[in-house]
Amino acid sequence: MNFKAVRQERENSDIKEFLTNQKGLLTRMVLLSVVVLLIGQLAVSWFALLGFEKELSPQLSQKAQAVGNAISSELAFAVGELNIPPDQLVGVEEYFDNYLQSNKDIEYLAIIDSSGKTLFVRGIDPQSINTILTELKSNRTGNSNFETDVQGYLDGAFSIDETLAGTTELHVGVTSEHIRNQFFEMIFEILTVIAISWLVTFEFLAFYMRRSISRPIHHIRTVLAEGSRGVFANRLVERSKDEIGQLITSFNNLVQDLQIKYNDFVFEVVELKHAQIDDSIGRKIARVREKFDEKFILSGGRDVHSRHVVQIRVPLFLFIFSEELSRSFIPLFVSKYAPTDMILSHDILIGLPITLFMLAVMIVTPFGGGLVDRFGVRRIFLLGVLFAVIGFIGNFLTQTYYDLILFRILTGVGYSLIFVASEGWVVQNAEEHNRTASTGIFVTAVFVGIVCGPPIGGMLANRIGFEATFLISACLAVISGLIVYQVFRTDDDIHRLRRKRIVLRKEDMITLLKDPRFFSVLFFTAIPAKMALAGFIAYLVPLYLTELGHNESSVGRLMMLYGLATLSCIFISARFADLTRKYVQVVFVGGLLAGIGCIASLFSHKIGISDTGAVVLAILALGFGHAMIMTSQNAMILMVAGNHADTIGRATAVSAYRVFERTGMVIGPLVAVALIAQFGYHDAIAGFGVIILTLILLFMLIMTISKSEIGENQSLYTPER
Amino acid sequence: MLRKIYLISAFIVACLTLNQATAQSVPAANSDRTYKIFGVVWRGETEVEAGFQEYLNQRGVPYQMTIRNLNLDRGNAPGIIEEIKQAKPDLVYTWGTGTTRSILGKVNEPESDHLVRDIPGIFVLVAYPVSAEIVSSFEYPGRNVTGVAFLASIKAQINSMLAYRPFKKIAVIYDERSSNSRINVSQLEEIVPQMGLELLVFPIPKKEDGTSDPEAVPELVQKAKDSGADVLYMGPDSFITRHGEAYTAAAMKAGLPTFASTQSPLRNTRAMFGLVSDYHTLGKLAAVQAERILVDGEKPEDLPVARLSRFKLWINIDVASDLGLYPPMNLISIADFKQSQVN
Amino acid sequence: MKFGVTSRISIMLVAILMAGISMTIGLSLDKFRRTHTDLLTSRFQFVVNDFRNKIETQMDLGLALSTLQDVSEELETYRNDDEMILSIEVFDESGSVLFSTDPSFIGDLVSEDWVTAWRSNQNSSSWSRLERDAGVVGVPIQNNLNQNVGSLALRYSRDLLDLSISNQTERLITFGLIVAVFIAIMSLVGCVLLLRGTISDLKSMTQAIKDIMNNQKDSEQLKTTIKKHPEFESFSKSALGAQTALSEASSDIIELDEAES
Repeated sequence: MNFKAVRQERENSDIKEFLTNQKGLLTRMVLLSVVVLLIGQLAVSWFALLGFEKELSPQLSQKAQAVGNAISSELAFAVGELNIPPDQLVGVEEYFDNYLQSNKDIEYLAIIDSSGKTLFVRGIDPQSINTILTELKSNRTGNSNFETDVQGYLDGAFSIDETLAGTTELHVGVTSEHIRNQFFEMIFEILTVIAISWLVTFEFLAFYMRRSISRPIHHIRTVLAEGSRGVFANRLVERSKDEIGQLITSFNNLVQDLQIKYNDFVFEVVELKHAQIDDSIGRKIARVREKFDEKFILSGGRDVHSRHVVQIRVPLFLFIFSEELSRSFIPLFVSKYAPTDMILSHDILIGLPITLFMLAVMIVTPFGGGLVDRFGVRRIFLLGVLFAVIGFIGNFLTQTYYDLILFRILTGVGYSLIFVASEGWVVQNAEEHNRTASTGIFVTAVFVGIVCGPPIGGMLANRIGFEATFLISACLAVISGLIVYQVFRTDDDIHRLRRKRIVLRKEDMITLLKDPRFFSVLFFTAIPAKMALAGFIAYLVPLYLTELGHNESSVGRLMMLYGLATLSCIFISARFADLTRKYVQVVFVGGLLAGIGCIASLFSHKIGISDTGAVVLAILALGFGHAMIMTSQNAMILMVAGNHADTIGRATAVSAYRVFERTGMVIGPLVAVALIAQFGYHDAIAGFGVIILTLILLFMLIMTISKSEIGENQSLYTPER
Repeated sequence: MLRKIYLISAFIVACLTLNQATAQSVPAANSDRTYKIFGVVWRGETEVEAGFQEYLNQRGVPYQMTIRNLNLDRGNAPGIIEEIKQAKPDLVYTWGTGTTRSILGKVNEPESDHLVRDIPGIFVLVAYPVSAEIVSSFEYPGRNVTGVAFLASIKAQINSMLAYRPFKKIAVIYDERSSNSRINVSQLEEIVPQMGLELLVFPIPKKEDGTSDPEAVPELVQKAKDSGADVLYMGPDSFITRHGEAYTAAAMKAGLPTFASTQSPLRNTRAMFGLVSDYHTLGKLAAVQAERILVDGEKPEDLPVARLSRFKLWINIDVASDLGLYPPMNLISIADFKQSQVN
Repeated sequence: MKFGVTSRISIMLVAILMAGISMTIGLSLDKFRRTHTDLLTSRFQFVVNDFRNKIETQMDLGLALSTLQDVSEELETYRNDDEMILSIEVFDESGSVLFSTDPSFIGDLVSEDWVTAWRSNQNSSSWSRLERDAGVVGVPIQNNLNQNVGSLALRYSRDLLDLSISNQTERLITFGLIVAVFIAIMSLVGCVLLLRGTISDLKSMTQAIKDIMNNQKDSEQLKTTIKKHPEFESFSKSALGAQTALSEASSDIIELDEAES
């Protein structure tokens, strides 16, 4: 991932070159969306809170009334029937405490005698109850209980003893704070919604701005520059009718007008030339045309389509998002259906669908490239959506463990087809100079999906259940399919980039695996990273957090941290690695971080971190670590592959690497099952840490021993063979 | 809710599950035969017999019950035994330790014509059936006799005293000659210190004829007061019960509350409070056992001695007021408030 | 109607923000329903618990559940205390109603659902159900032998609950729509302000190109556009030049042709 290229991409995307002087339009648009979004969400939340208090406060009062009735009748019995003088009641504090403890919504209980003296009070200090009651006396509106708000309290009085001197009363206090607190219990969920709608807005905004504004403008700029040089041959293809569309239309009209005139001119030249008897005049006429053609080019143009990498962004995001919805609860969902009468342990049965999903991805992916070349991005993407939607709907209708697995596998096939199609799109459309930037767009779309999916999915599952959440996944996948169907309409007709078919031959693989650096990058960094992703994040985390008492919503929120950590770190580490070219070191640090973060869970109790805290720490460490490993690893593998460019081919080596790497995903859940069986959930986290740490040390060792020119002289982004 | 838990933890200690015999299920028996039950009581019929019969009636068990009274004298036993042997009842019911021992005998006693040995028996109001050698253990009676225990465990009793006030020193005045009392005191001596409290023990001095001296009781009460006792404990002691009025009068004078483990001092003297089983309920519980023997054909030797799991906290509110020891609010909804009859 | 860049972006913004706001509304309504139900449940749980204590005290006296005295009267008192209470029933372990505030229910069997709920919550403090027409809160009753002998069940009116949920829903949706309109206006205004420069550039350039096409060299539009974007000058010169050159070339050859003849 070349940061310079990323930056260049960003510059391209802002409309700043000679069409307009405005800088950072996208940034401003994003700011606008943030402001509008915050205002909208806050307004709605605030209004919801108002309704909460308005509707629920009377309910709270009713409850307090019931409590007051019950307590006062017992007190009245003690005073009236047992003749205990109110001030000599025994054990009132304990008695009140019992009520306050089992009725959290009651704030205080007090007994006030006829002279206004506080005999007993719990839940509030005696001074405050006096002020409250005095103030209440002076501005009580009406005689009903729990109506006047004094210092945030609503008070109710219940008579327990009436004498000539006056009435001794029980006072019950509630506070509207209680209702408010209930409302604020969902503050995290609302914040998550705000954060995610912001991310989605950003994603869509970037998509639209690039596709519909900056990209066409880039083309306009190109043709205008051509025009300045006298070239009026190329026309732009644009369907939209907006301002840009109008500009393009008027430009096309101009070009067309010139070309028509030119064609007439050429026709005339030919006609007249033939009509001449005098050859010299014929030559003169031809000379006029030549002179014109020297200055201007008005023929031989083509239609310029504004195809761009970025078009894949929204559909890919939507699909990843739909698949990630179930991330936070897949193990729980599976465990609901897992048979209990099998020889295999329950843990393995829960891990199996994840493993098989990954296996499907691993098997289908290598064939995907060929399919994309043959049938086009659009058709393969849509085929993937079809598979995935069948899978999602199947899981929505799940009856048994076995059909659950079957439909998960179908989803896996769809997932890999979509992945391959999107990758194909990026490869086909990325211009040579900003290939990494294009990959950046791809990675961002994937990770934004990984960030948004689990928390939203968790919230949904918490309310509408696992199965119904799959139905929503299906709907989102269909929408992403529709976008591809619409936006990529031209893809089918357009010439396809005929890539050389990559064939993985056995002897090539052996050659690669014999290369210690290829081997160690693959087995000591890539596979463990994928293994931790599938085994720890996808399998262990949901199960363990659920055991720790988190609901789906909360599990999803915590899992979101992985995506956030990766997303926030990926570009910084890419930049650092590219600037310093210290790829090996960055991978090493990433591995260390991930490993130590996981192992830290062993000592969580000693350093006063809760079990949940330890999981969060491990998730974050893995997120940051993976970001470092991923960015530098790609660069490194390109370099290692470069060494075999002559014999095997860079592309072949890279794709072999990808295939091998995915075995990590397949074995991940199984490793997790084994670790959990041996050490229990908590220490299994450390188990992952030990594996990662050991392998990363081995990696470093091998890299040091087989010291080579990696990262020194080779250019990373020379075109593939 | 919390109060409920509190109540249970305070008062319920032993809870022998009573299997599935429930008071509300469909009447079980409709065999054509009428069961004959022969009851022997110590000093006239009580609420226990009423509860016993009420339950059988409710359940529709056909029975016929004969009740004879020993009238506080074991000497009347042989005549009644003779009568039982002639009547050949299906079940013998006995009230109290003395009655049970004189009619049914001890667990390991050899066969004898002077006892009823071959007919299933059920006892009630026996404070310590194992110590009194009526059965060999609560779980396995070891003979064709079972029954219902009626004392709340010592721990539950102490806990209920503490629920009333955080007493520190408990004094017990007892008749050394009574085996019930000796067992009771030895249990107290074991458990009270375990609970971090202090126990003061005052055996009643004997007269020249070897019997305990009732005159000494008021002095002992005063002595207990002087030794710093907070509360007096009245066990299942028939001597003390008999002289309860003098005892509690002295206690009132000394300003000491009296806790009773049986019902009668609460009913008949100025004892302040006690954790007791309700006689009516006890009778029903005995009837549950009886039904299982008669109708379900179970053997008494297979039926553990039943025990109530909830007891009644009886508070004589007039005594409490006079002593200035009002009951705490947490007990208001749980306790049974009475006026002592003496007042 | 054709949509300009500004309105397209605004529509997109509003659509996404509406999705977010709908989610927030959904969340808060769900929370509202749960909080309200919890409050009602805890209130009636308190009432039935209070009553249960009384029954159990009576049972401590040795009375069987079915022989409790004057329970119906007390039930009636409780019901009259709170108008939301529809009825209170005491049912035994076979599910048949022993006491009820509605005497006509006595002897009837309660729904299987209640019995199941009671059975599965015998060791907990209470059970609750939300039925179509009423909420139900129950507490198990134990006799003094610790046997579960039945349950108290209180049915309360859902009208208030449903009403307040629909009130809240209606209010939130109305407000949500108002916010949507507001957001739409704000983002429209925002987009107009932010995109104003770009749009006017695009428009002036469109017009300028049209002018070039119509060979109006001296049009104001063309001049201002060039003034704003000096880079555009070379294009316009070149395009105009092409036009001129083309017409000159045409006339040149015609001249040549005519000269010959």
